[in-house]
Amino acid sequence: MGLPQDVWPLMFELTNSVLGAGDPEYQAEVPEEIRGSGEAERQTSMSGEMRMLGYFAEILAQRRKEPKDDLISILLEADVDGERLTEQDILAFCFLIILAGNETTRNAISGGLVTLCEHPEERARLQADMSLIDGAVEEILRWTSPLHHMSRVATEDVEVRGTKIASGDRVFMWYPSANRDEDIFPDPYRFDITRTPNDHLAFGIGEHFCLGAGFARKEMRVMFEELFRRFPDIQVAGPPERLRSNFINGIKHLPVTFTPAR
Amino acid sequence: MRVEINPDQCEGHGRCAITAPDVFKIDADGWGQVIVDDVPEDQRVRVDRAIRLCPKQAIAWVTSTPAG
Repeated sequence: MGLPQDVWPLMFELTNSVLGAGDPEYQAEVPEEIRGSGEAERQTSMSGEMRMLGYFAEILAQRRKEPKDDLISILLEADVDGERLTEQDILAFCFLIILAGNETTRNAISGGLVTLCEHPEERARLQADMSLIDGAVEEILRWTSPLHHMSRVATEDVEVRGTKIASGDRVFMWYPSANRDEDIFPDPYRFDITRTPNDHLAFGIGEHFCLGAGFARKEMRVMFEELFRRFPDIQVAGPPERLRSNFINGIKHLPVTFTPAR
Repeated sequence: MRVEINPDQCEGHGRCAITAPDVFKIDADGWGQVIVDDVPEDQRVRVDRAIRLCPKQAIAWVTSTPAG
């Protein structure tokens, strides 16, 4: 997106505010006595969103005056059938990209490290032959399912395995469940970095398939290649501290031990 | 039977390559690519699935035989 590196920590903080709003650790902006409540979650999320949109409004103004070779400048120039995107469209897009682009992938990476440490044989196979990384990334995506769910509204009456869903009903698609569907995955509770085909739904399905899937895969691949190259003995040293959220399968803190590279 | 990816529609999501890895792959530039001329019988169900699941509906069976 072309954001300067000194605002990356702010983006991290605001992402936690918006997507980790239900976790008391990220509710520092609300009065202590209401932390942990639904109201605290609402206020935290709202505050994070306002601050982020405010930040991007400033960046948009700057890029209008002085375009750069970055995504925001491209969006400002974008022409859809003769129409420009509105300021609101671009702000919403920036908001979505920054949230969806960092929270999910970093949790896939931390969740992947936990998973690999919990399955030392699979981890040893990978470290002995890093050409298995692409399959390992897919299996980590299946196993961790960084997003718990998305929802859709049924457009017609339908019956799914004996459950009637009426037109207009809101349904939740639980990805961790779909990714352990025994009709699709033989032995679904086995973590297997060479599972093929690996028809997981961690990136969703249909027209709204994750826009950043290719980028996320690449980030995960590079991260694990570099991590194991530099810190081959890295180990999880305690239980992960998980995010309180029904949406993000997040890890907030993960103690690890490793021998520093010389 | 042959299957094709329409390069104008493909956005490189890679869904086909995880659904039918023996028929599709992601090329070095990140685009979907068909890696077999003739889809083996035992792969047809998977290819049907890949066609259905492609986010951009970019994949189709080739139904017409080129003249000559």
